Amino acid sequence: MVENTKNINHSKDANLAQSIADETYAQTVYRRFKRHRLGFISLIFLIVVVALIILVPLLSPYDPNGIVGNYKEPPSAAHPLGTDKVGRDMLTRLFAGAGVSLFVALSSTLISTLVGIVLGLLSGYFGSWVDIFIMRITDVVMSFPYLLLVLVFAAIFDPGMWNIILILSFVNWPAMARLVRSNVMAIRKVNFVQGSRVAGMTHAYIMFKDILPNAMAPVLINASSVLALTMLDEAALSYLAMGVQPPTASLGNLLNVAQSFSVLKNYPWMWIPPGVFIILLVVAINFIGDALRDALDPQSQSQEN
Amino acid sequence: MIRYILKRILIAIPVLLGITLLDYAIMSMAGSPMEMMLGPRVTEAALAEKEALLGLDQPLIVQYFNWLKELIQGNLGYSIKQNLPVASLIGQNIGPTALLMGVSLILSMGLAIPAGLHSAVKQYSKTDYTIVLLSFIGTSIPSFFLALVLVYLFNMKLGVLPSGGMTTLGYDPSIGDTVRHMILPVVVMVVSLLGNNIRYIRASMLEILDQDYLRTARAKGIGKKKVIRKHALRNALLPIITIFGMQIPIMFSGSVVIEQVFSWPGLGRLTMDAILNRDFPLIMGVSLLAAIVVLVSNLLTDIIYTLVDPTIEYS
Repeated sequence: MVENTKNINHSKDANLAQSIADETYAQTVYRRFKRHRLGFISLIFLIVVVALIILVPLLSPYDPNGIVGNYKEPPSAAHPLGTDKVGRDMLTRLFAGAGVSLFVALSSTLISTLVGIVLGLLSGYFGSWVDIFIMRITDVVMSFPYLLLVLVFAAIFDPGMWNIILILSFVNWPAMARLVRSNVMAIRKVNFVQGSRVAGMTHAYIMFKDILPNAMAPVLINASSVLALTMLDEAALSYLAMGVQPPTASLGNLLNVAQSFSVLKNYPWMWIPPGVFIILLVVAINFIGDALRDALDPQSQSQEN
Repeated sequence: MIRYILKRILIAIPVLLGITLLDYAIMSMAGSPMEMMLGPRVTEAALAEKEALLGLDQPLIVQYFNWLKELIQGNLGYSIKQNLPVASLIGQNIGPTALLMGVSLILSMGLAIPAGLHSAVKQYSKTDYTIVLLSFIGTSIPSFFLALVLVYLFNMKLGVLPSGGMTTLGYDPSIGDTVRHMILPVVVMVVSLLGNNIRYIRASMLEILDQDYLRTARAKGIGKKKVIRKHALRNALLPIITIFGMQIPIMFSGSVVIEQVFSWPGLGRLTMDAILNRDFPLIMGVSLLAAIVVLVSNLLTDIIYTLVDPTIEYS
């Protein structure tokens, strides 16, 4: 974001300068990352949330999908966030749901990133008809309004966790493929890549060992924004009852009850916590992505995505 | 330049065909229209006869071209649930959506352009930090949740705004009434667009401010304000055009969720109803239309871009 990294070279402390000179790439990245205060706080927040997602269902006396109390019970000592409309403990369901939402977003981001990397590499490296073919496919997929395509697929393949992961991957790979392609096209003309070619290295070696590592920074930065987007999409889909299906909780389908005006009006504890949780997680992921951008690619800190 | 524009149009044609192909493939995956009609009153034999009549016993590729031929003549098929032509259903619902999108687009650009430019010109200032921080938070709020919070606050707690619809039932429609109904959906749509737009404009403006010709202009000593007014703003027009093009698919997606929450009687709500009812001819008609609108708006953006920017490469 607006972190100033220009003063790296102005360190007056010779020891510090020496230690900076000696550090590995990973250490440099970590040091720059830490300087983005909001990003660093977000990282810690995310680690704590992941720990809670693992711990809460283990330590909670309640089964997240089991009926454990009266229905629509307001927050109390026994149920700190109350119970839902059939009597399940909201706090346990909130963390179980956050786990499912994060899992959906992470797996889908991973799949779309891998597919995008492979197709983007092929497209940018081989060019000609391979490139034309793959790029036209990305054009076609990206022409459909994103959420519309997701909803249509969800309607055809029946909503459910795994289908949602695959559907979100399908709509997200084209942007990643284009990003990788444009980076590959910039790198493939560089001397060391040409050198590998003269040395008779295989195409696969040149693509994955020479080119890919040099294109990883923008890929990682873009993946972080895809992660934030898929969190929001899973939430919207599940809210519309086209995503993760109950009794399995997700942050989105916990909010599904708020479609009813009486729930919205009278039982705010059922829908405010999952909504706020989604915002906190997505804000955290966005800040981490921003810090990552500063850390991996200081020149582009003023650039969008 | 005309060659470049022609080339862009030529590239769009296979994409357009691809769109219809994907649309048709999705519809075929959804099942045969005969199965959708199959009910207790229709026998298998009658279905087979009807299938032959409609040409559905022919190979898929032939069926695709038959469908394409109908499509070119403006026949988008019939809605299964409502038994009306898809084209006329779309026609009936497009007005409210266009109104919602148009007002939101104008407001979001009206706010994003000054905010983004100011943020870039005053980089690292307190206002810049605040604008960027708010834009990050804005993009991180799910629009349906913001809608719920707004309905909760302004309708249920304060009772000052309607919770949904476009007019109050039982009253004569009036402009004031519609405006009151529009406030909340427009706010949600604008918030969902604003964050990214501000950051995009800010980033593009920062890039422009870093260009050599601006450094030269500043070095000539004509004053920072004048440099920005005379040189930088004119160049910021390009990213602003790009953003206009990018808004359309985002607004289409947004309208599905927002119209659903606010019962806004537009295309988004029609689509969501069709999805919940598995009314595939209607779903695919809307998707096809949306995809074509997106394709055309991308094409227009590219063409306007070449007209505005004399330095672009036409290769």
